[in-house]
Amino acid sequence: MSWGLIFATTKIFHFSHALTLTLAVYAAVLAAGPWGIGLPAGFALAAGAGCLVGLATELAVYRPLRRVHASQLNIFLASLGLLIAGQSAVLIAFGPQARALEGFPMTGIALGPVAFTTIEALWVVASWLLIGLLMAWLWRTRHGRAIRAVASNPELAQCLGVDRERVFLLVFAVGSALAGVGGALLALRDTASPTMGVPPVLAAFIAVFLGGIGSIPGAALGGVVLGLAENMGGLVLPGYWQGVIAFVVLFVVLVVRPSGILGARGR
Amino acid sequence: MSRNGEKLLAVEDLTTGYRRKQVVFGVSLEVRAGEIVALLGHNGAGKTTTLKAIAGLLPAWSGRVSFDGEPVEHAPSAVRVRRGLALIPQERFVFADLTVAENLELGAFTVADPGQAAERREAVFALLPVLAERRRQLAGTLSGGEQRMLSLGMALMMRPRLLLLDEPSLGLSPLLVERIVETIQEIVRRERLTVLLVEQNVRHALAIATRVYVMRTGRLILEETGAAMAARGEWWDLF
Amino acid sequence: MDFWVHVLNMILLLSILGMSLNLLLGYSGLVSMAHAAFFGVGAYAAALSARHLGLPFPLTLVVAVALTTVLAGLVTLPALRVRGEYLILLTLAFQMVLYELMLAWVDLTAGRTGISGIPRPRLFGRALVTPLEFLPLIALCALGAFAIAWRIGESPFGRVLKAMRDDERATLAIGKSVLRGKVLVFCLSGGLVGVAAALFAHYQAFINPFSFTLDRSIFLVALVVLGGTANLAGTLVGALLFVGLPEVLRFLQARPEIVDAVRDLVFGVLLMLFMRFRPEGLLPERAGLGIVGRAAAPAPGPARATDWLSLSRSALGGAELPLRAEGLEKHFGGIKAADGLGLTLPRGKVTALVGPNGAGKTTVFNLLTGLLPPDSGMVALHGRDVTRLAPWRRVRSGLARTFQDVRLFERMTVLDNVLAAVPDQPGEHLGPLFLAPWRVAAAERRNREKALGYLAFVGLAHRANEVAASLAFGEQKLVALARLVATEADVLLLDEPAAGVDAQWVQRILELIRRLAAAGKTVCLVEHNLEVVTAVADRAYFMDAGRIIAEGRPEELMADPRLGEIYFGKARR
Repeated sequence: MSWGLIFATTKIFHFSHALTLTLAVYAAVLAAGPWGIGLPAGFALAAGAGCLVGLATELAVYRPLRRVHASQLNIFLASLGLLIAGQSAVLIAFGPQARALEGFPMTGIALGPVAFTTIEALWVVASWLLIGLLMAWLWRTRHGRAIRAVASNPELAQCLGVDRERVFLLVFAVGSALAGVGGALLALRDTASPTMGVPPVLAAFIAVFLGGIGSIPGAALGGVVLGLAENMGGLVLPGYWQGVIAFVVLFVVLVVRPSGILGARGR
Repeated sequence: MSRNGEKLLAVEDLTTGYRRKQVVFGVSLEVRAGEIVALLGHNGAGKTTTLKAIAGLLPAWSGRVSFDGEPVEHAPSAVRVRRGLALIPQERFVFADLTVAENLELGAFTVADPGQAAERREAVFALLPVLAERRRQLAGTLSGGEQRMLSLGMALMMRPRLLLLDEPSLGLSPLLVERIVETIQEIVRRERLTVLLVEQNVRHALAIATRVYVMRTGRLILEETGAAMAARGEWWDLF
Repeated sequence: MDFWVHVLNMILLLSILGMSLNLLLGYSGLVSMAHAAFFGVGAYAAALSARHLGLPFPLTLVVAVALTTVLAGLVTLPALRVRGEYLILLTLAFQMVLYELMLAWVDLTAGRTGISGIPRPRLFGRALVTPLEFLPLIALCALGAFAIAWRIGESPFGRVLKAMRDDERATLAIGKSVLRGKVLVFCLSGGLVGVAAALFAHYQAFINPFSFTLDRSIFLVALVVLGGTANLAGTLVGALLFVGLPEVLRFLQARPEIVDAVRDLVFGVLLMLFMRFRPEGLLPERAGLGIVGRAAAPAPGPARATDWLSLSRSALGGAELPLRAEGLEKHFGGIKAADGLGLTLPRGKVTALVGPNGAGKTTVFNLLTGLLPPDSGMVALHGRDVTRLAPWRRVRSGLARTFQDVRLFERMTVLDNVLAAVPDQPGEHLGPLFLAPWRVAAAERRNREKALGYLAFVGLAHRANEVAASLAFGEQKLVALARLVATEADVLLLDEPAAGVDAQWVQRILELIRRLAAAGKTVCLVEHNLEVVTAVADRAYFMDAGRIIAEGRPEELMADPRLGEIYFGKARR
């Protein structure tokens, strides 16, 4: 969702979103571990750090590139550069070993035949909560409407006095804070490592393209479809085919309906 | 508010274009408060490009644009909108995947006071009842004529001191064009708007304009009153 | 000693991969984020076929190449229909999936343990074991890969690839198939990866999935971009830096686990800085073909230029009405953009389409050239029904167009822009390119002379070696005209030839249009400047609301009060 928000609005293929996520998670890990200020503060810090990293990326990398009319491809390449540079900086600073995000009580819960852990329960609750909040913000507030206006028709938005550059900043701030929180949630179970950001962001790419470029609800739908397909497939196929399923789904959608499930009309 | 007859917009020796392609070669024009001025000319003559440069969507390469006596050629478009200089573009003039009501809200984006925005919205609904009926519908699902009406509604929400209108009759059937022209006349009369209008359809422009400029290949070739233009009877030599 | 030879070997292997990617990224503008995975598949193919099937070295190479070629071709299937970002996404997904499979399909790949004991190749009865013994083989293959990549990149086929990179629609409009170009270049690139992969597997004698991660794909992209896209020497420099930098760091006795990270950091930062300050890379693309391009050709006399003009696909046909369209219908939603349109274009005459904005003039062009399929109706070219023919094939049968926004291939030279449009070049096919180079060279000399002739016709022969983007807009329009003539089509559709051009150029363009018609070409133009229409058109069709409602000389049409009403609006009472 957070990547989809940024992509739909700015049309930047923001690969280094993965780096934002990683850095935010490390902030949370440090907060909950060595600094000892507790897990809730860690989550807040993850959001804050994500927000800052996102803003810095937009200001220091993307905005100068737009100013010289760099092509989409070149902006994407710069994003790649930032990702690999950032990852290795994390590696140099913190070492390659994975670090756990500590402090959350993990126990199993059994509801009849369904068994899951407290972490998974938190995931479900928190992600729906965040999605709900984001949607409400986008649909109910003036700023949210400005963002959707820029995503929908940037030139007209400009005609009505919406400052595109400021909307971009806003989108990077919010999207990156979300990524920070999402990353910290993931890290509760899967630990933090310098390259941890790439798989979730890749999943986000696929979800966004499945749902339809430029459609923010589409990104959420794409995520659900993807999750379902992977898990249903996992029931009948050996485990190592699970990764393949996402790809096959994407392949089929691209061939059958290149604009995505909820793709923009009239293209 | 500037009084009628005062110079609201002055463009001097404006040149602009896209990347390497120069489209406007030194255009000078002015609009006084209370006037309806039409900018005419063949397609590709540079009318739309001139409007975009005035609104700040395109940077001016050289020359001056001043609004209400102050130079604005370097001001970003958002600043110009706040000062009351607004453009309704020729194409893609509504947010297709937002509802009618949301489109109107965005029209009042620069209006800080929500009460005032609501007031204006009611005024728009009173003037254009079709929009009130469809307020929850996505703008993209409206017909072409309704979308045009919506864009005029957005202009009313902005209530600019100078409205730049780019070919409001483009792509509409003759019957709809009549209605749009009438609506524009109505709006102009009620709100006492000052308008700089780009049109291809000379007669429709003359129905509302008090003064006209004619462009050909990036330059102004004629300026005269609407009456004098109408008296010519036919305009093949100007296009 | 062995250590440095090993480093050299790795540089060479990497540069094969880099050149393969450069063919895609640099020459064709196609991104592949899956090259490391292709590399892995090739390596596993070689390793497994050697271990389990007991195939000897050259055969394992063949297996690897075949597999990677097919795999890369497979990627293009959905990629053909979609835009740039999809290709990034698709290849990313491909990369991740293949990598996961290498890790997880333990029965086949032995998972993270990897495959060891890959037999060393035996050449001339001797096993190659040490890096030094391997060096000649790797160097030879690298040289071969370089030769192939260079031959492709700098050939007429490479010119089509670059054209496709700069502007796909314009590439179709000069009669070249974009589809064929994409599939071929992906397959070729995949094949080169296969070569590097087989060498790598046998050289290391051990492979595991960790050599084929997404990071490797990213670095490959980085080194190609840093070295310089569409410049193979640049790729070599990139590979040198990429392998060399950590070795230098190691030499400075940095801690080993830090070395790679520092290299990555440096590369990442460089990539960002380059995108901002030097997007073309260390060694920029040379515009034009290196060897012969520089010698400025003597401008052929005007007589020569006119000779070339008469070249056309159907010069012998001699039909008086080369183009005929009947009953064309096209609906967009509820709007009839074309409503039972019929028209004919007479030979040697200039016909104009006029009418108010939104009357459907551009739609007519799109229907005639095949960019839009009609709902019904037919288009006949020289009496042959071409309604179902793909746009680029219509160009080959003699119907070509220009665009109002010019659409030159901006990073190519003026000469290459025109040269790319010459039809039937043997050098665009891989067979002649590698098997009959003399034929390719002879054709290239002849075509170059032709292209210079066309440039002389529009008066721009003296600027042949300049990059197209550096020309003024008016000059670009002239180059577009030369490119149009170079397609040797005899029915020419001009979309607003005088739009956006200053007065001095307009006269020149009109003069050229008259000369084209005088040379027997059939010309049709859409133009909004009625002054231009009156000056150049012999006859005109007047369009309104998707129909043709009048036909005649421009002055006759303008004398008709009914048309005046349509154009300027009805008088209001």
